[in-house]
Amino acid sequence: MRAAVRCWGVLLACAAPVGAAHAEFKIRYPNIDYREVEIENNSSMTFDRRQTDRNNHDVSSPTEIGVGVLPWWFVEAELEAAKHPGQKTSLDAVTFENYFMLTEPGQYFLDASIFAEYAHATASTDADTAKVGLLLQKQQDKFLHTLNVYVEKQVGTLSNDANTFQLGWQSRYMLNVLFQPGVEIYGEIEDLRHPGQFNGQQLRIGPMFAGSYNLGQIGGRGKIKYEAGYLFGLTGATETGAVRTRLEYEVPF
Amino acid sequence: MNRSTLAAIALLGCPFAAHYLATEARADDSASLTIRNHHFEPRALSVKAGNKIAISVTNAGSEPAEFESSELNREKVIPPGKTVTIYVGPLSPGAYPFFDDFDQANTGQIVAK
Repeated sequence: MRAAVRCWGVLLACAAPVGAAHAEFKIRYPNIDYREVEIENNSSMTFDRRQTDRNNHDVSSPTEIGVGVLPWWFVEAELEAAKHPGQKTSLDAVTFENYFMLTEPGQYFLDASIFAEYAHATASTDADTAKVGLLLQKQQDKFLHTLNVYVEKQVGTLSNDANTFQLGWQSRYMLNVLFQPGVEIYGEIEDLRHPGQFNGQQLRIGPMFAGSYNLGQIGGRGKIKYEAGYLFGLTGATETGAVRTRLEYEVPF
Repeated sequence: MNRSTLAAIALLGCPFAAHYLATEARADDSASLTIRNHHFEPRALSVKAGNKIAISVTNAGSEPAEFESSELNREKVIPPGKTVTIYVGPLSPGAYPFFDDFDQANTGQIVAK
């Protein structure tokens, strides 16, 4: 029985989309920084008291560079480095991302952008993935609420038929520039056609904080932004905890 | 209709839903700022608290400028000789600093009363 469970676990791991042993822990914002270059690292590490092969110490550390090409179009190239449980550090995928801003910030009830991504798997045994989504934001006085919804699909000869649904929510209080506390939710249904039981889907919630520092104040150029958070797993398929960080340098040109 | 088709329809429908949800909220007030000789004019812009404000920012200089305010969650590049509109608020009473990201000595503030 135990061997069967282990085999099932290995099969599940192999069937998971590229670099997606856990969902990506990143909230994307719909507002575009035109004429800015951004260099960013998003790192996360999962912890699981149950010591499951799949969920414990899964490390992801994508690094990306992006540029605001037009007032309504931002592009990013990303290298997805990761260390999955029991494996060596590897480059999982090279990703090309696009943001298309639909609304002028603050003009309408909601700010909205379309997000589109193509991830090319570096391993010949993994499938490429395509992801599209909607980024929404609402500012209410000092509260900033952001919702991300995505559908991801494998493409190419190695692809499976799964349509993966991902969701991210962040609400934060803009206390001051340096420190803005908030809360985040990340969820994932690995295959929309076979969502299974709620306990088999991924869902996390936890506190976060964010801030930025303008380097112009010390004679520098550009801005440093950071985010950090801890996520608690809410279902059986989710690790019990995960820590995430985001560090970004952006400079206008 | 299988679930993939439904998912595709739902996703394609998102922009339309977003457009529907993004019903235009007309600004209650308007104001204007000009960037001239590396200065915002006026440096302090008084607006009514609780109102949504459309601020027309004109760059009268010969180099690009960027209106930026972390407090307002706004960043907007203004090409030389152009005017852009930045929507802020409704704001609580207080001061909201902003600066030109291309020329950070050039600062100002919006004062909501």
